[in-house]
Amino acid sequence: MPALFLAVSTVLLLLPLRTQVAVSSFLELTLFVPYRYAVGWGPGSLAAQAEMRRVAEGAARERWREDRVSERVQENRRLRRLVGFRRRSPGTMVPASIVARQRGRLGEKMIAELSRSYDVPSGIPVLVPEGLLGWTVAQHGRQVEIECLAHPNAGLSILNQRSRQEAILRWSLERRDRLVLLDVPIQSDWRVGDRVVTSGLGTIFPRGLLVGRVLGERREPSGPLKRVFVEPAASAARAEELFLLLGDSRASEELYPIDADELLSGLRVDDFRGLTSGPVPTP
Amino acid sequence: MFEVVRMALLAFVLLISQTTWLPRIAVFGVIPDLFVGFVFYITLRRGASWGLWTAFFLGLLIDVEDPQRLGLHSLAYCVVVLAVDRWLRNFDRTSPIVLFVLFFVVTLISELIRTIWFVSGAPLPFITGLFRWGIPSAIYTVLCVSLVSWFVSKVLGWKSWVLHAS
Repeated sequence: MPALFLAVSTVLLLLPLRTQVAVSSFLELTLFVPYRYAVGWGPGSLAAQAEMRRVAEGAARERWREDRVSERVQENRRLRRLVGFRRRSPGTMVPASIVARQRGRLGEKMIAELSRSYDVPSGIPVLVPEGLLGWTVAQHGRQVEIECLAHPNAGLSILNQRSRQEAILRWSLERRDRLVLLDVPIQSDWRVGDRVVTSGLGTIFPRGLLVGRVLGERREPSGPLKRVFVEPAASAARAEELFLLLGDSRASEELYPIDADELLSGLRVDDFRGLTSGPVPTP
Repeated sequence: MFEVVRMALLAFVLLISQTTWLPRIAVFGVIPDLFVGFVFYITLRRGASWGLWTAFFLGLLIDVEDPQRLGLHSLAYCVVVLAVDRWLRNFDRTSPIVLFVLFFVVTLISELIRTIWFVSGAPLPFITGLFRWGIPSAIYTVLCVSLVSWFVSKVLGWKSWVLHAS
């Protein structure tokens, strides 16, 4: 009898794979049916369920960790831009965080809360690292009301940085996410991609603040005039932290984000308190 | 008949253990093999005949999960039964030390057979597999089965140790 068992076992081991599969299936469906769920053959097995729970738990944990890391990376990038932007900017930059937004047919407005108490007059330029966002219209304690460029009240003197052409920028009622230059002479030089900055004319906005880029132009049906469409550099929907430009800033230079590593030592931690949700950059 | 049912239930419990909580106590990937202990116990208590039937069908039960090695565990466990039955004739069956050593040797033989099959007879992988998996598995199996069987003996209130042949 021992030889019989050894022989049968050896024969089973040496069978072709197809035959082995057939024999296994037969045994599984006949002799070993009660053990089916214990061995992990079906999705209802204890082992498979336990393993699936472990895998699901591990996947959820990894996803959460990845989300946290991704959020930290984004915040780090944003802070680096803010640090570089603030260092480069002239005048007094007062940081503020957005607490409310309003978008609708009447344009874009928002409410921002100052990091510290300041006396903010109306008409102060509001900037984000990408460029000019709007201006202040009112202050209520530490909260200020801001009108964005996408607003019927917008009327900004701008300058084409390349061709030095000047025009008045307004909000486009046709495309509410666009700005438009009206009554531009047809022979004036505006190309797609040209940078549009504030001209410095007037008493509110200093020269050189980035407003947007030229998207295209369209000739007016009457007269030798055309319209030039501008895409705003700053997006009110994406803005999270912004700066109010206080003080004498008429001689401002153009603002752009730079590498902030060498500049961190010159900044104070207090400048960023209350502005972000995570750890502040330290010198 | 009742004895057969009881052993079938015990095999069921071992199968569940092998697939659920035993992997959690793996040491460097080595999991103890409770089935070898079960076959060893049956052979001690019931003799070679019972042992061979148990070994054969228990081995098939394990192998149907992986049809490519159908018959491997049956062969290994049957060899274990034959070795136990043969060597116990020449040694003191009541000595725990003898049982420990015998259990270790037959577990190692079972691991040898499986290792030979997995490496398809190649010498270097066989030696590597033997020292990385075979010997540690045999040692861990002996320790684990001894501990579990001692615990079961105490819980069931038996006077002698489960693996104690009478």
